[in-house]
Amino acid sequence: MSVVPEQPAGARLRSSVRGVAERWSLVLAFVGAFLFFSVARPDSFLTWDNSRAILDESSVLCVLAAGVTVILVIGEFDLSVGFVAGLAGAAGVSVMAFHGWGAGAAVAVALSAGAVAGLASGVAVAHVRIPSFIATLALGSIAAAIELAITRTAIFEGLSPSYIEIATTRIGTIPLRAIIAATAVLLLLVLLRTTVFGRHAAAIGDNPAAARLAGVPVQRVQVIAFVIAGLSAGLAAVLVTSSASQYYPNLGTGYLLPAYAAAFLGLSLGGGLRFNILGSYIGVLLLAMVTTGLTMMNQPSWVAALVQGVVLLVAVAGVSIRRRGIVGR
Amino acid sequence: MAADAAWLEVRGLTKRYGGVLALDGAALGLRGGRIHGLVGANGAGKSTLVKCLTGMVRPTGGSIVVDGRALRPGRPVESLRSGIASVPQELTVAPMLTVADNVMLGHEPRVPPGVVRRGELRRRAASALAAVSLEAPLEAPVGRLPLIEQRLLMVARALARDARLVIFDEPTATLAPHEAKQLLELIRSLAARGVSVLYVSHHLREIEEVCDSVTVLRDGQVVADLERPTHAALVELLAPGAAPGHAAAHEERTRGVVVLDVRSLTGERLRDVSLTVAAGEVVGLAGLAGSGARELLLTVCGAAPFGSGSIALGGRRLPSGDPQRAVAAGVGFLPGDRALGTFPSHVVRHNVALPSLSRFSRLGFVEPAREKSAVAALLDRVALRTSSEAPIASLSGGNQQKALVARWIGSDARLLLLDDPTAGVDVATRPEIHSQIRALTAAGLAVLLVSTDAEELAELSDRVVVFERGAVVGELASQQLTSGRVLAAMTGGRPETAAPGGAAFPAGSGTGGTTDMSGSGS
Repeated sequence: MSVVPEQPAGARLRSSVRGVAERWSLVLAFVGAFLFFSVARPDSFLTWDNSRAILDESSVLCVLAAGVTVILVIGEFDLSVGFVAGLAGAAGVSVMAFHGWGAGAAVAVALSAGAVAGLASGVAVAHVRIPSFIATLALGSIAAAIELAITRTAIFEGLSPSYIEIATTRIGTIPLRAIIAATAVLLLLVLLRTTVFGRHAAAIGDNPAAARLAGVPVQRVQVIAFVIAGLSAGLAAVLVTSSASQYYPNLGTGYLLPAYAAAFLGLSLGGGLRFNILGSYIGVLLLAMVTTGLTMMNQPSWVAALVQGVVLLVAVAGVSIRRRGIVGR
Repeated sequence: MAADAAWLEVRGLTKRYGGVLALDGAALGLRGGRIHGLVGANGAGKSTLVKCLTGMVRPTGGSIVVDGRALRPGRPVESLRSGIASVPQELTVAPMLTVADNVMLGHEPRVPPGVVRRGELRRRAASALAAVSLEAPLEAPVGRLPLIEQRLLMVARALARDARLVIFDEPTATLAPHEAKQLLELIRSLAARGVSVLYVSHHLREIEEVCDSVTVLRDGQVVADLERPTHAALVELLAPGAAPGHAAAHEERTRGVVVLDVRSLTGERLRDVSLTVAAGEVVGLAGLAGSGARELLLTVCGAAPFGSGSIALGGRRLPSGDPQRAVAAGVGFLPGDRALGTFPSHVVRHNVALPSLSRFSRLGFVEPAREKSAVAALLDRVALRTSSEAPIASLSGGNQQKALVARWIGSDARLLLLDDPTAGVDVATRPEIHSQIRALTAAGLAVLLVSTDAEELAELSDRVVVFERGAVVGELASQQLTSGRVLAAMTGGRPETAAPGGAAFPAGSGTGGTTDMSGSGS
């Protein structure tokens, strides 16, 4: 292969502009959607109150999507995160409501429940070698069963006031839930970007056989990744239940699909090759913004679902085409 | 079909990937009953040309003309209908399906709505298999067949489609010498039946042996079209001025301390194998596929488990089937299949630093500055002139191999396991990799080398251990190392076992019966 010197400057510029556009398409979509709704609904959308609400409401999904991204980076799937969030929520709230435990203990219980569920998935995948897709589907069902067994499929309240404050507190003007979510996202971002664990995780996702032969502790990394996803589900459960001031059955099930949608939207930020936390975060905010914006434009709720589906399909199609260009060489 | 007129012509074929011209006006003609070679260094455009022919890639310009009619570009189905079939380097069989189903895959005889006619399918599969002299049970799952038979099956698949052109891409790359011979026989018999063959390979000896004519590509352009190509002429065209001469004489040296000590190792495919490798020593392992030579490498690096016996590295025993412990103990494995070595969507730096990250990190955090300078020094050491931030996939096969050598130098490996280190590497890079291996052993590294290329074994090894059916059956000491002897031993000719010694001996001199292109002076 030879580099072609006579390629016209215009073509080179066009191809590099195209590369940049593809790479930053998610950010462009974000800015584009923001501008569109700001122009369409300047009085309701383009307000600080609205931005704050979007940040607050998307905090649950941010945390879950970040956890899911860690799993995608190692090349696995975790379909249990929604169910695990439900189990963790049930565990945390029930120790407060039935045993009078304090808010701190409840949070610890919810996080532990998530971590234990993640550990179970990790062991099933790394040591028993069950494909993660089916292992986490089965364990998710078990988690849902335990959740409903604990709570007897009832809504209940009786949360400690300081637990509810997690959702009502603002630091300065920013909701605490948004700060917690951003912190979790930042922690996982740093973990994947700068640590040996992160490097090992990315290598396993890229080529598991080569990672094993290069001496990467594959099983340990897999187990840790699933525990992280479980912890993120536990944290998401705390954010959901504190805001709802109650426990309700199956509270986590609606989050699975958007979490994966956001992570796949974020894939484009990594050039279409690598899942990344920052991309998932922007993906969540984009989905939340589109949903809010469409509601403000008085569109029926199915329009939001339709637009989310189309946006996801277009993003993934773009990534696939780009990947074909790279691999097709 | 007329044997003297080209029925398929490639005219001015051009393919551009971004700013890179992979093919630049390439042209060639193919005639029935002739074997045409296609050679060139890695990245010269051979694969791109083949992919254009099979319709897997749509060319930017030019045309492919079959019987005077231009082929619609980028349509695999149309290429197949025009009689163009290929036997790719990587096998594309469905391992769980039966032999018959694999032969007829995508071409099943059917009754209209799409019901497969089993009897007809079996009949056609059987006749295609007979044409390649493959006696495999029609209902056996293909995954159970030996590699050579899977490859013959791919040829049968092409014949079952009435192919007029069969393209072979490095068909002998992973085959033992006698299997390669079997395949070359088959290719000749295909041509004798009037089929055109396009033979793509780095093995210039094979090209000389089998091809009626050859097209030489460089930087996407045709630089020569030769009738009856000779090895010497091809070497000169491919690596002008860099024709490989004889290897330097093996230096006489006292053997260093024993690094690897394998005792009575028995596993699924190894029977009571014992051998040692000393610091600074290259021990070659010769044997056909399945003989135990490659299996020993995989067992030492932990990729395959063992039953009884022991593996000790520097006096410490390695557990069975644990690559992590093996790497930590100082084993570095360079797989012949680079798909097992590299991380394709990562940059060179990440690929090189992976096993030694703990050296560049504190409390689990990688320190980028230390990592970058260490990787830069390693790349320098293997003479790999590329940015450490370049994606590894953008490097040629030879340069990827160098990056992997750098990886194991960086991890302070004491034992390097090389599995066909120059398979698929171009003529110019090959001697470079060889000289690096020598430099590493001079610095005290122990090396176990498996190669399907007898000349490479003779050239690099201090002694060669011969494997057959999972057991060690002989050893060639350094004064016996000629590629002819190694080849004879590999293919079942019992070598006279001699006490291993370190006598000085000019390796490679007076070689005969070589299987490959390097080493023999041109």
